[in-house]
Parts: sequence; C-alpha cells; structure tokens
Amino acid sequence: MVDEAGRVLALLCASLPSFAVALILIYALAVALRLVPVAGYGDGHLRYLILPAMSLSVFTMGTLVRLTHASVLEVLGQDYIRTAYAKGLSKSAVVLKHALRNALLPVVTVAGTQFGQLLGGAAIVETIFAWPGVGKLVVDSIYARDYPIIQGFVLLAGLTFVLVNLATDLLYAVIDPRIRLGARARGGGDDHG
Amino acid sequence: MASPTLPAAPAPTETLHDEEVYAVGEHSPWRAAREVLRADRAALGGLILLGLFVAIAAAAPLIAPHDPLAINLSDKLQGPTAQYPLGTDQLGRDLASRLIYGARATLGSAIPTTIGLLLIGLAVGISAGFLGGWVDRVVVGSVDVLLALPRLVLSLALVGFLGPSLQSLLIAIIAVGWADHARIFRAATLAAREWEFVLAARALGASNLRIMARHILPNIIGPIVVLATLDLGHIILTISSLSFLGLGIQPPYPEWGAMLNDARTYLDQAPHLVLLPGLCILLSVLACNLLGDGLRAALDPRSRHR
Repeated sequence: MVDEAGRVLALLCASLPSFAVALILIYALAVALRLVPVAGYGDGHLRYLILPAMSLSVFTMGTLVRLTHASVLEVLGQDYIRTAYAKGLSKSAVVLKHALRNALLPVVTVAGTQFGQLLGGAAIVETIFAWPGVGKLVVDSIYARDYPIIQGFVLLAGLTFVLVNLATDLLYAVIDPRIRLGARARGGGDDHG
Repeated sequence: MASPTLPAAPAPTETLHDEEVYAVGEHSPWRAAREVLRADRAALGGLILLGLFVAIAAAAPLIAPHDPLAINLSDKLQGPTAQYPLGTDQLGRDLASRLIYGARATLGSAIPTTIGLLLIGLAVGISAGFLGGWVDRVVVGSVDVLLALPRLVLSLALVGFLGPSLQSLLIAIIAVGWADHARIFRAATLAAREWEFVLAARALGASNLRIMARHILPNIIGPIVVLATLDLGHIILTISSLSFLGLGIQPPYPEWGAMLNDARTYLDQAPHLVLLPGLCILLSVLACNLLGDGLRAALDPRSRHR
C-alpha cells in the first residue's frame, strides 16, 4: 500500500515539467499567500531562492525516489540481508545500515548526472524567475543567433558535466570501500547514465 | 534523464508471472504485456489515459467547439461559460479548443519523434552489437562523446544553430537522444546473439541482415516497448519545455508548453490558463510513465518483489 502510493507519487513528480511547477508555486505561494517574492534574483537573498529551488527539485526528487526504490529492492534480495536479520538486527537497522548503504551507488551516479544537468540546463526556471544565469544567457543568445556564446556555453557545460562526473566517481570510493581508486578502472558506473 | 535499467534481453519464461503462462511455454511479449495490465491497475490507468489523449488528438477537428486560432478580443480572459466551456485566453481564443489542438500538436510531433529515435537507435545499436569490430568501436565512441554532454544543453545548442522552429526542435531531440538507445539496444543484442538459435540460423546460412531482423529483433522487443513508452513521456516533456521557451512550436499555433508561457503574464487574473495546460502535460507524461514503469517492472525479474 505504501509502496504503491509512493510509486505513483514519485511517478507524478517525475512527470511534472519544471515550468508548470514553477508557475503553480508562484501562484500559490507568491501571488495568493504572499510568502515569498514572485521572481527576481534579489542579490542572491535566500528568500528569492526558495521558489526556483523547489521548482527544480521536484523532477529530480521523483527520479531519485524511483531509483532508490528499485535499488533498495534489489539489495534486499541479497544473502547478507538475510544474515543481518538472522543476527537479530531490527528491520530499521537492516534497511538503513545494510540495505540503503549498498543501494546508494546507482543513486549517487544519477544524482551526480542530474546535478551536472542542473548546472548547465536550468534555462527554463531561470527564464521564469528572471535569474541572470547561464541558461537564460544561452536562450537569449539563441534568439540573437549569437553563435560564439552558444559555443562557449556548450564548452562550459560539457566541462562542468565532466568535472561533476569525476567527483561522482571519486565519491564511489567513499561510499563503497570495496571500490579502490587506482586499481583497475571500473566501467565508469555508466549503467544508469 | 535517467535511462531505465533494462533487462539485457527478456530471459525466457521467468519474466512471466502466472502459472498458466508457464504452461503455454512460449514467450510472447504481447501476452506478457496483457498479464501486466491485468495485474497492475496503475499501468492500465496509464494505458487508458494515453489512449484517451491519442483519441482526442486524432479527433481534434470533430470535438473542438471553436477554431483554436480565432481571436475574439471582446471575450478575452473569460471564465467557463456556455459558449466557452473552459473559458478564453488573453486574445479571446477558446481554451478548450486550444487544449484539444495542443494535444494534436504535442502528440503529433512526439509520436513520430519517438519512432524515429527508436529506429535509429535500433539500427545503430543492433548493428554495433551484432557486427562488433570497427563498427562497434565507432558507435561506442560516438555514443560516449554524446553522453558526456548534458542533453538539454546539446538540444538547446542545436536548436540555436538551426534556428527556432518545430522542425529543428525535433531534429535536435533525435540527434541528441539516439545515443542512449543505441547503447541499450547494443547491450541487449550482445546478450541475444550468444543464444543458440542465432548460431543455428548462421549454420543454416542466414545472412547478417536476416539474423538481425528475424532473430535478434524479436528477442529484444521487451526493452524496445518499455523504452518507447518511457521515451514518449520524455519527449512530450522536452517538446513542451522548449516550446515554453519559444524554441519549438511557434505562435499562434496552440501547444501546451507555449500556452503556459503566454498565460504566465495573466497568472493573477486567470490562473486556469496556467493550470489546465499544465495539467494536460502532467497527465500525458504521467500516463506514459505509469505504463512504461509497469511494463518494465514486469519484464525485469530483479525489480519484482511484490
């Protein structure tokens, strides 16, 4: 029951376009309730960050929920989980310490990729909230047919993406001590990319 | 986007979950799909919803109450009335008709794009996986290069170079998206070609093309169907996102994303102009995701622990 509801909720989040979330949030929280500013960068003041951050996180959150779910299910079928139960550990200890930690690897991979995408591709949310970011810059450059800026943007985004992926790979070794950096390279963890 | 973890190829019989299917002994993806829909109400709901949207898109001229482009400034920004069942937009155009024609614009471009993407991914992926050698190395190399860049960035850049229009948007989606598919289908082919019937076909003297088309393709149909369904959702999302930015379907033609963009200026006066197109995008993408997720769960034995 919880599983089914969680699945539909996560799918719902992963089906919501960020711009629709942004507009609905603006209407509910900024226009109707007047809790936060409608748009603008506001010199980086934290209040101005709330709505853009929420709009961008919904999709990523839904994707990560689904992935964590699948990954934890897979780990729960392993022998060491049965061993942990046999030792007399409580369910929460087994799930949190044994299952979650081992299920984290694909989640970190995708979270890293999503982070890289967000760094380069928040064009839509930046446009809605009138943030002077690289995404808005590139959309404006497309209209203006300003090719050098588009080329520079692709270079910058590609570079950021590669660096984030590198950081993710390094993080593997922290999460899973079995992975030793410098030993034979694993497949780059690209089975989810 | 996170590409789905797919089973390399449908493993025989263990992908099906009812005893009666074991009894039949023959693996049929359509049969498996029917089983899924019977057991999984969410997936069935997705299929019905998707069918509904396709029907609306196909029958748009018959069911739309007004011309979606007809401007009537004296009726602008109205709420629901007898004449305009869902109200009107900032130029007095009928919202219901625009939503109906929007389904046509979005699905009418998303479905062919999905098919194009699958065909290219299949041709490249199966050839690379089956032929191996330099073909495989070239494909894997280009796929790795494409996957090293964020998708939206590449699509944006391509639309930028081709000039904003629906056509360049669809070209950009296919040019960026085929890599993911080629990789998945290549992996599926690598697994399928090790099976004995491929060897048997070769021993009988079948050509490479015949083996790929008649023996490999039917055996990786499971991942193909799952991917097509999930893809349709992603592509609907991409088309409406880029149309929202003004890079896709151009005004005055109705498209859900573009309608949202037009409506955001009138958010405080007419919130339904934002809510309804947003709801249409949400529901159509959700339908694809529900269906694809259910089919994947059924085809991937690892993810089934119900």
